[in-house]
Amino acid sequence: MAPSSSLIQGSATLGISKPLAYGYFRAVGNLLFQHELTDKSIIAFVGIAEGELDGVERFWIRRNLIDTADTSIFHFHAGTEGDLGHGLAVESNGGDQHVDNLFSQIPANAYRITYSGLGYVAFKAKPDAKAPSAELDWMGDYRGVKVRIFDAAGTQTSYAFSTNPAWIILDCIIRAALKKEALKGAALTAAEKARIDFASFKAAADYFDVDIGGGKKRAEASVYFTEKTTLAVALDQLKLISRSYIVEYDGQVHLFADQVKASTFTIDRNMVVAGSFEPSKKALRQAANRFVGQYNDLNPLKNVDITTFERYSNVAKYTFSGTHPYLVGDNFVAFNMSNGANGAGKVKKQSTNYVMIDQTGADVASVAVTGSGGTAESRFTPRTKILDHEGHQQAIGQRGTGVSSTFKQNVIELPFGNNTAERVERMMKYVKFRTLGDDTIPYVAPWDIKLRCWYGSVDGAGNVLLAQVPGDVVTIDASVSEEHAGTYEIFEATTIPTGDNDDQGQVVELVLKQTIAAAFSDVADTEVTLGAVRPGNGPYSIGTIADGENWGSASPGFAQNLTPNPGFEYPAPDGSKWDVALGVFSSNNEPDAFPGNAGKKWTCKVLANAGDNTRYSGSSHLYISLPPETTIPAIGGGGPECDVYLEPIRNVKQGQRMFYRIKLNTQSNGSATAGTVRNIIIYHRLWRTDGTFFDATAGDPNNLTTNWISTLAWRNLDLAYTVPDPGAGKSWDYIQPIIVAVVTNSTGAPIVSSAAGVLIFDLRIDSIEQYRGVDPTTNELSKSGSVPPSFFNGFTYTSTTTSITPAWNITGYRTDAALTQFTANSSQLVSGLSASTSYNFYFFFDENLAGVSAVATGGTGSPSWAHVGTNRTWTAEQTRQDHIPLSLNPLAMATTSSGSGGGSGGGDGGCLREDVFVEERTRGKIQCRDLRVGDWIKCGVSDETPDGWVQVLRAEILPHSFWVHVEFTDGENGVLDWVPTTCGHPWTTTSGDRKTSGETLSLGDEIATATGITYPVSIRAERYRANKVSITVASRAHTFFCGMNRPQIETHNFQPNTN
Amino acid sequence: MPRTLTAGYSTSLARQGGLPAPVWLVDITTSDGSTYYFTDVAGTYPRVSDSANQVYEEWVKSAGPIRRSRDSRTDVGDLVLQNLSGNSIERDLAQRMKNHEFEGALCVIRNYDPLQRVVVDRFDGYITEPDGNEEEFRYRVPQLLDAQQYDLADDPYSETCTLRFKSDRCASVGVNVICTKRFIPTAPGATDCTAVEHFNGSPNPAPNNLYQIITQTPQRGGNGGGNRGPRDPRRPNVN
Repeated sequence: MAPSSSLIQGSATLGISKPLAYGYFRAVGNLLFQHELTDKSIIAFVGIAEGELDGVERFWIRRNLIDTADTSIFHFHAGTEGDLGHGLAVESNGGDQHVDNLFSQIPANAYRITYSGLGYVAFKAKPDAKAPSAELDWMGDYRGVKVRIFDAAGTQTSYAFSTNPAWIILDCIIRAALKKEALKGAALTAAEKARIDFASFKAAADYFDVDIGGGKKRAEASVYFTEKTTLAVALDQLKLISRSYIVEYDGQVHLFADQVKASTFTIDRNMVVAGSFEPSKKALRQAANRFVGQYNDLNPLKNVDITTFERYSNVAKYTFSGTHPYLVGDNFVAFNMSNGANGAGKVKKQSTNYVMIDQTGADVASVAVTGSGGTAESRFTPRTKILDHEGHQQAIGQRGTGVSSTFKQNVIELPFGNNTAERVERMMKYVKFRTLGDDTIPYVAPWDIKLRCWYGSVDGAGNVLLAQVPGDVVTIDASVSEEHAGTYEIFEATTIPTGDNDDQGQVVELVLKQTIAAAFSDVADTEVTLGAVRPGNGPYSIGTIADGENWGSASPGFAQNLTPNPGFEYPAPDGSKWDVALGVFSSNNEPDAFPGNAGKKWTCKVLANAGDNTRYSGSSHLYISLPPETTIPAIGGGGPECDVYLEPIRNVKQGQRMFYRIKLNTQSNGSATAGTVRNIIIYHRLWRTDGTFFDATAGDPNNLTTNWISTLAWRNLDLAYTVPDPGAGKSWDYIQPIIVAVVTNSTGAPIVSSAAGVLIFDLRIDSIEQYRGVDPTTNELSKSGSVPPSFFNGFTYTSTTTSITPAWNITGYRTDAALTQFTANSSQLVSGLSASTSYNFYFFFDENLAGVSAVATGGTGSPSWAHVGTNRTWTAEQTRQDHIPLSLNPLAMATTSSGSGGGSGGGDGGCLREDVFVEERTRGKIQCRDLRVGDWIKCGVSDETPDGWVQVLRAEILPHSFWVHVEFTDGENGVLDWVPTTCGHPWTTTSGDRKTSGETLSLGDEIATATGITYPVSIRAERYRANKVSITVASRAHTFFCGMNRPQIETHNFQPNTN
Repeated sequence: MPRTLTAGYSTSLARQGGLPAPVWLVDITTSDGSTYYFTDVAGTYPRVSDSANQVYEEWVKSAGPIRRSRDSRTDVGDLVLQNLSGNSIERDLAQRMKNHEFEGALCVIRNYDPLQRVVVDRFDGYITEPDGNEEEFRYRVPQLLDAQQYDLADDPYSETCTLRFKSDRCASVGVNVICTKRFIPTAPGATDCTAVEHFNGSPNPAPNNLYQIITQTPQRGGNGGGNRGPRDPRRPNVN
């Protein structure tokens, strides 16, 4: 049971949980079924999450952003209850929970059902030869479930989508506990309402909604629970996200936003039971002091600053402070705009420092703004934010006589769901300051105070102690302690039963924490520019084959396009003009180069057959117009030329094969002389990452195709192309295919347009299809399985004074249908190193090389794999798109001072997930992340542990991302319990065999429980981020009880104690 | 935010110099609707449900400690009831626990000021872990919103319906007393889903070969061969 951190859930199986989503989320979902039609189209039904979802924001099929309003291909069902009595007629295009219309296209014996209560999408994916992958993939951005919203008196005011944490917390409580089997959105009864203190929820909701500046709310929550999650875990995460806490008293559940609060009671010496005052910092050393915030960014990743905005005729132009990464067709997003002109759309036109997109709205003259530019696809990018408490790190660091104090980092990962950078930072500061106090030098940590007070105490202001509840702030008077006088928050309050103390009267034991005002700062952070980079292999766009609509030539300008010079404009033969669906040209022809026409310009445009532009099909006209009295000389005379810039193809690599099929013909408006020849050239402009380009030219049959089209018939041009060598030290960024249409007169007489008329040559483009690495002459669109390794066994190394030789032996599984196993077993000598030096290695599996490699940038040695220190750019290279990182952190390997040495690293250790329960002797059932050294945890009875308790020698929390979920049987009653562990976590069977979760544990293994034995019934690999806890206990058996339901499954500790 | 007390109570507390010895009132309602009223000082007190006067039996040996916190730990109290009254064959409390299930029963523990006739504290929980002997029974009383006990996102994708038969979401009102949870509306003589629009299963097969799902299959062999699939737990060999 993990808190919401999963970005995308992709699966196709029964038995897994229907996710629950609040706020904004991105999901693949669970493929319920799919059906392939005879035309190779695929109809797919995909479960997204429990209903009732509010809606879909964006949806990609084969990485192409589609129009979700197009009911011929896409239907969204929110997940309301089915319409009882309505029947199961196939009729719905989404928007309700009736039976979906796409059922009509699949065999009638498929079960036609409503998927009552499940938010799902049904879509039809047509074959798309241009897609980056032949596999069907999809992804969507959604708005999560609707929630009930109340006023302070408990009257429900709406049932709607909300990101307010108060209403999400309340919905979690209602959904999990209070009204679990209710119909979606059903009203609460009076008795159910009586369980909730609506005044506190409403006050908290209002507090969260406050605009802290720049339109940013103080707290919002977007969480996506993709597996069964305890309400406690969910509420923990939501409280973290919203800086709040929940207390239950007088039969009601209260929610309070944590904030600066006034003291409501003063404790003086007369109220304190003698000898009970205990200041403490016992928990200080183990406290986390490096806070790693994990979240998926709700905002697009900011690539560039927007400085100017203008809009005319529903076309917006965003000008940037510098260069930008966007190409025509990208799904650009402008956000955090100071004038509110946030927008999103495909880039129609781009230049060095601006982009233009369609945007409905009134005309806006050029105005200076502040804002951020990004892409729709970059939303929900997993991000990490780190916050250190250096005062505490220094306080607990290594000491030694004459040795400078070092800094020790205790890391904790905090899950913030889908969130924004600035909000995560504020909430992390809350955790940091609240737990450790101000980060100052010299550092003095806040105190925890435990004391017993007379429950019926009344202070000088008439406040009563028994009215104080956890979360309230009290003052310790100097008469209690001069040193510890001040304000404290009640963290825990325990009423002591009468007769359990020697004193007269009732007593309450309070655990107080010092209040830290800095924890509640609401200063918003600014969005960080991550760099103007283009993501590779991301969703791609189609529908645009050229750059802009007659944007002009030498210096394309905004005004020129909105107010074209009539002198340069000629209508198409059918009377339409500026009717561009496929896109047109980036530049006009070069009139000056045309004999006798100096100073004149030519107008070219492509007109699309609207309605079917998703595959570039339909007749798109490329008109090349000759102004009046223009002469194209006889044979050899060059004519006007138009260049059509096709959509760039990204992520290309040397040696990659590219294929094109262009269907076209040429016509004229009748004025042209029969026999006129039109010359069509297609060539490729390859852009390098350093901004230079290379035009594939004549002489290379792969790179240049010239076609003389002398008939009016439609014909296909099939072109093959191999990406060449980019040159030493350089790499390709993208390819820009370009069609050059030149009217050339190959006849024996000049061609002259009349004085009054216009001679128009009409190049018709029916379709342009781009393929990557597949052969368009066959029906085969196959792709080899990619290589995400399921397991790896780690690294070992040997070393000398000048070299290190890492060795690896990796076993992984490809994601092809057969789950093909592969291994990588090799080593690499890294020479030229310094003696007695520890180096860091950043290993990864290279998709292109199909083998293990390591980051060389910034390294030393030969090859330069050995790094001194760490650098986030090295980590970035280790985890880039075509690399699969083989370690969470760089692996340290050292040379010797003399002779030889060695060691090992990698692997994932043997640990439990941090929320697995164990039973502690005095604290009861606790999650293992709360274990401390010295605790006693429940284990089996043996000679060494006659009482069934074993002491914890070590408990270390570390981040981890690859898990194995092991479920255990309860006979006919189903699943007894389950335990999430790391892959290498050990188990000891009742016969004494040692097994590990991810490798050797099998369904036939007997595992002891607290009351008997059990067997694994499911062993499943999962990939997500969570913390693991590595535990060592003080017994030769090395075992203790654990479980997600209760501590009952006997498991083995990480590192056997040899004492 | 501090709790709101009865008007004037703080003044009277200050006047009387603190709380007197408390009277503990315990109202227990089992899942079958039976309600019991216990106290440590026999008398008539207002009950929780409607504040009507109710005779409370003097069975409470102790109530507490009751621990509350603002973190995610479950608030919990302890309750001890006497198991002596009755006769040597059947004790009163044991007999009630024999006839009614106390596990999961609603339990409201109140701290009552008998002088001012004011409830000064109230803890709502549920009974669990009954454990006793011939003299007393001890109970754990976690808070009602024991968040560890409830799950979110716990409804699995299944080819059968996951709804409880005739629950609100099922919506079936048919005469059947059980439901197969299957969706076969055309099967002759079937007694399957009768509220088909609310059926929430997924009977069309998912192509689970499209994604990587690592699940090991049962192994054969071992002691005596045969299929060693899941079977009932038994005592462990921990020696």
